[in-house]
Amino acid sequence: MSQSIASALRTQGNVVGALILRELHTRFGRANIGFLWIFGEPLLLAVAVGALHSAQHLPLTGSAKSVPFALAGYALFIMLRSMVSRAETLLEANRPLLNHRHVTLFDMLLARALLELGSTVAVLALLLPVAWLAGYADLPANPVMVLGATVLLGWFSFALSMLVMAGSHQSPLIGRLVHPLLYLSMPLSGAFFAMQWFSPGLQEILSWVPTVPMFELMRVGLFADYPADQAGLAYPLACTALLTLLGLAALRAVRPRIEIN
Amino acid sequence: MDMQVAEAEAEGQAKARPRLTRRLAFGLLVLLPTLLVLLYTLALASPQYDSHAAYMIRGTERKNPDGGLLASLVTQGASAPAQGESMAVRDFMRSADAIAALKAKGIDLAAHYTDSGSDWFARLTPTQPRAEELLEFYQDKVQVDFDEQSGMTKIRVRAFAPQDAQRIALALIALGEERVNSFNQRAVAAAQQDAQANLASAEAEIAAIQGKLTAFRDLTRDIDPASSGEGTLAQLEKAEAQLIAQRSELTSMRSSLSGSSPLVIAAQARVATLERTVGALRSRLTGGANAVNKRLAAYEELKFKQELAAKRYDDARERLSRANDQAARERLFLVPVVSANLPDKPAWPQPLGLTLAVFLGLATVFAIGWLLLAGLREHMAD
Repeated sequence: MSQSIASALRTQGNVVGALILRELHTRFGRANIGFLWIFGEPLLLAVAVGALHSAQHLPLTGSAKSVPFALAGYALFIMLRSMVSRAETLLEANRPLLNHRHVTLFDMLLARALLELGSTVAVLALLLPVAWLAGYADLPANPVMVLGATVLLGWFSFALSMLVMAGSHQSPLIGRLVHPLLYLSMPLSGAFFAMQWFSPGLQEILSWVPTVPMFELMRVGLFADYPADQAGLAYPLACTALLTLLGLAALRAVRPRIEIN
Repeated sequence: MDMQVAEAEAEGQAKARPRLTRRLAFGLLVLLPTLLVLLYTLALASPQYDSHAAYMIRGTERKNPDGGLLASLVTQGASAPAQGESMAVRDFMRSADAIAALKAKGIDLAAHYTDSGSDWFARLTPTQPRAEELLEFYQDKVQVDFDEQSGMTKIRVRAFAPQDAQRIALALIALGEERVNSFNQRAVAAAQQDAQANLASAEAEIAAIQGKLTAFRDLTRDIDPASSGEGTLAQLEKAEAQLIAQRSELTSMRSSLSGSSPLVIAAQARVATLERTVGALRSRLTGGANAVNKRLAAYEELKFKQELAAKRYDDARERLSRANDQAARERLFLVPVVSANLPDKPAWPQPLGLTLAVFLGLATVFAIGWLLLAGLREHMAD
């Protein structure tokens, strides 16, 4: 039993690895810089946003600076957006693969999530030191915390993407609604504001958005003296776990209804 | 027919086996821990009591920034009186410094929180906790929240006995008051130090000039050179007038009398005497080192310096009294709003809430794990 579980784990790992490679090829092809575009897209956007903010001085206390604030917030939001918005089209792109018994919807979503997470971490690991060298930022005060917050948000986005995938298969309306909803969630997500800017009443309301404490957590790791009172772990973790459960259940419910051909 | 039954049975068994293991796993991984938590909270957990208190730090008068209506609208509610001091006292109360100060007051937090009478999970486990461990535990048990809107600071102290919770809260507020008083002393000292130093130097200057004046009078035996000069001047004028009169008399005598007339000789002698007197008076006024004009100049310089020093002294005194006034006006007080209560009902443990949270958390994790495992099974080789 344990041996078969270990071999199944190995198989799943191989499947996910192969799906990541396939995703790279189908999305970016082998022409010119090819799969490097997975870094290129967030890199360009984050640089553009960072540059916009380099002239602007955000009302941040202490050692927090505008450029890393905008850059990291944007990079993480792009990760959330790509995972969730691409979940809708996942089935169209990968339907034939379901002919293989070993390839599951979970594997496809996981492959994409890992790809997005990896590229986001790589982009942050590249851009933050560059911003530091250019004098626009300090090195992250606690890189492990930044990484932890990124992984937590990645997990959250993955859980959400499972729900979106299952939901958009059930009803095309959900698939249509995902994009505008994502767009509307931008200002609420916590990617572009610091909780310290708001009154206690508004903070109370915003702290119910599960991504807000995650972004705050990321900034606590990013800036040495960023106030930690709005960065939580328990609430976003609980939300993420619940979403994961719902997502897994939804995938399981929707799997038998998918026509392979 | 038999085959079908056998097949159905086998299928049923195959289905029943995972269901059985699932139930077993659920019981072992979710129900058992939940039950243990419930037992712990009901039977084992030591009760912990919360004492609440609230205070305000404020001065005798409100600072009104001169910015008119707009500024008052913009800053409305944003800055409570003595905001910085409130935050400073809050930070002090949650520091290792406060733990040390409480110990000096006879409240040994390390002993209280590590007391073996409390249960193992709730108490601070090392019997000799390091300072950082104690601080972390203390910051968990003692919460101090400053509300910028109302300017109030709320304290919550959690302890293993109601009396201890109240005692710690009361002692903390007393420590906060001491802190505020030390702020005041600092402010008064800073405001007065300059003014006092000024006053002292002005006083010293006045004394020095007074000494010089006295020495001058001793030296010249002249209390007031100005008035004594006036006296000499009057004498001189009188003598000069007499001299002129005597001279004209002498001239008229010479026209009618011979030069050897005793009258003329007597008149000549008077004129000569008067001339000597006038000369002497003149030289007293203006000639020589000790002449009145020199003395007067020196005297007036001293007089001028004295006036300046007196003015400076007045200024310094006024500044000192203003500094005293301001220090009195900016004096801060810790005003207790809610004094620390003696809790009656333990705030912790909450058996139902904690058990429910543990159950829901474990059940969610279990369900996720089971679904992941089910997904993994699809990758199994046949």
